[in-house]
Amino acid sequence: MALLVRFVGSLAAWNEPNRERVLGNFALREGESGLSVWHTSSDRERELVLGARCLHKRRLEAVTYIQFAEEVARTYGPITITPGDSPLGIINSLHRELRWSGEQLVALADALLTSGVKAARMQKGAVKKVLEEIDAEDFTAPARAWVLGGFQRS
Amino acid sequence: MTPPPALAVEMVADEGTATSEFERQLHADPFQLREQSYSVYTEEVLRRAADAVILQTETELDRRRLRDAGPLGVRALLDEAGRTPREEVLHLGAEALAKVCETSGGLDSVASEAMTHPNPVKRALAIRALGYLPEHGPAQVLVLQRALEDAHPEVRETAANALSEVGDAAALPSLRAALAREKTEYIADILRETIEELEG
Repeated sequence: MALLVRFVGSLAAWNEPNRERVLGNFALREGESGLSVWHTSSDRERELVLGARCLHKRRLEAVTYIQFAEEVARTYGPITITPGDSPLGIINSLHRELRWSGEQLVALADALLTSGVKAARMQKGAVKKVLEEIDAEDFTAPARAWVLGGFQRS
Repeated sequence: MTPPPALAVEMVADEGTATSEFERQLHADPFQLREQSYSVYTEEVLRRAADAVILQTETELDRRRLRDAGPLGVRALLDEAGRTPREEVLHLGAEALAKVCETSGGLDSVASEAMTHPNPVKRALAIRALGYLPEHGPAQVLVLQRALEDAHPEVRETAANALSEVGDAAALPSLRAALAREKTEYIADILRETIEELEG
């Protein structure tokens, strides 16, 4: 089953849960075309997507996320394939956008809350392990330098 | 001499068009005014600068505005990021706040917001920024330790993550005490992870 992964700011927002805070996770800012999600079909794809999040930030830290069935999202609107801009090129084909109205996004967020979706967390150590196992040639040059340089803080 | 930010805002309110003229000059030749006072920012100007930084469309001018505005820049960033508290927005907001901490009074202001802001999302954001500082000190670690006692779970969660980011073993007694009293399982898990990391 294909799952959509979305990064979230905290476990607390989803696990308490706090509807206002959850809706904040799904709000678009002015000028944005859609909400970014990642399409994963296996545990390995999910690990790569989660690990790559730290490449983007150049900050080795735990990654917090939610995941939900693609078919659930489809009941609220179309899922648009858009290229990602991850420094890990092999995952960019997994990027999707929910180019929806605010009402559609709120409806999805409410449905996820109602169905009891909880946020999960990939520990910092697990993120590090995933990144170290990836062939360095798959990274962009700055990301490769960061990983091979021992994840130094910028 | 740069006027203190609060005074600068009053000046703008009194002088009406001063800001728009100042803005025009900055856009025309921002570097010409580098040595002059550019703390005459209205909250609207700072809000727009914060928005630009968060959307990563920022210019050097935007970044400088927020840094130079000190405490007012802190509040603008907190308000902007708190408007749409998504992971990417919070991350960029925290990065920008960490930059503001490098200015005079910036760290004190972020620390104060971390402890006293009435909105827990904004307290958590300020705490995240403290974890992002390139160098850490006892005052910063103390604020993060106190945040482990915050009533709101998102703040405690963020504080535990920030202490992991800072990596100062001096926080271990506070982390162990926090773990002993923590009733929320997922936060206890983060505390355990952080303790294990710092114990090396």
